[in-house]
Amino acid sequence: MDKEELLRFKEKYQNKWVAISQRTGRVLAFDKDLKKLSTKIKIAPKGYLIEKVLPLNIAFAPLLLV
Amino acid sequence: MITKLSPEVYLNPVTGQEAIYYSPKVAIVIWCNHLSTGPIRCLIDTGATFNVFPAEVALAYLGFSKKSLVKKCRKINFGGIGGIIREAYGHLCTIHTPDFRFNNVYIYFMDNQPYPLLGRVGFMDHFDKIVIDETRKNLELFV
Repeated sequence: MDKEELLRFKEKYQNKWVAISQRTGRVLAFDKDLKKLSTKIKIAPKGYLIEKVLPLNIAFAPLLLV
Repeated sequence: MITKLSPEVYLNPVTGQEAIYYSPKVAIVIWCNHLSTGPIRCLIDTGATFNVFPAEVALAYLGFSKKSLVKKCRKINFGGIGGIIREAYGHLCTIHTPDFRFNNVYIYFMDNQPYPLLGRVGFMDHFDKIVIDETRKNLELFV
């Protein structure tokens, strides 16, 4: 995926869980609720990855044990 | 195991333009309570002490309810930047990939955790060497 494709992907699926085909990279199913996505994906073909899509304005910060 | 780094877009606060960076992510399957997740993409986070996952992963796939997640767990507090402290509930799980399997590792499930993180204890400490090859855009994990 180039920058423009990644940007479109992030904008479309931000804050959602997506199931992505490992073979084609296509989004097979998506939902805000992971439980609902897990139900949808049961009928999808095998060979997928689940990922949470974060919005563009989120940056990661490390977690520390206190 | 050698895998490609994942391209990610971020908004550069200086230029205001979108830019790409490459992130170390791996897809794993978690087994717990005789149940498994689907293959979930996780970030390898050298700044995270432990493996920290969104609680909804446990609720959606691993047979936990909100009540059972808190019961019989190893409870710890996590703090992040900004001083916010949150409770996380650790359960013994098995981490699978096509290349390796780690039994009896703690995964801490936490509400409002935005993304699954694989941390120093319970994931990275199982490897002899972890390399982020920026030139080839590869992530290399050596057992």
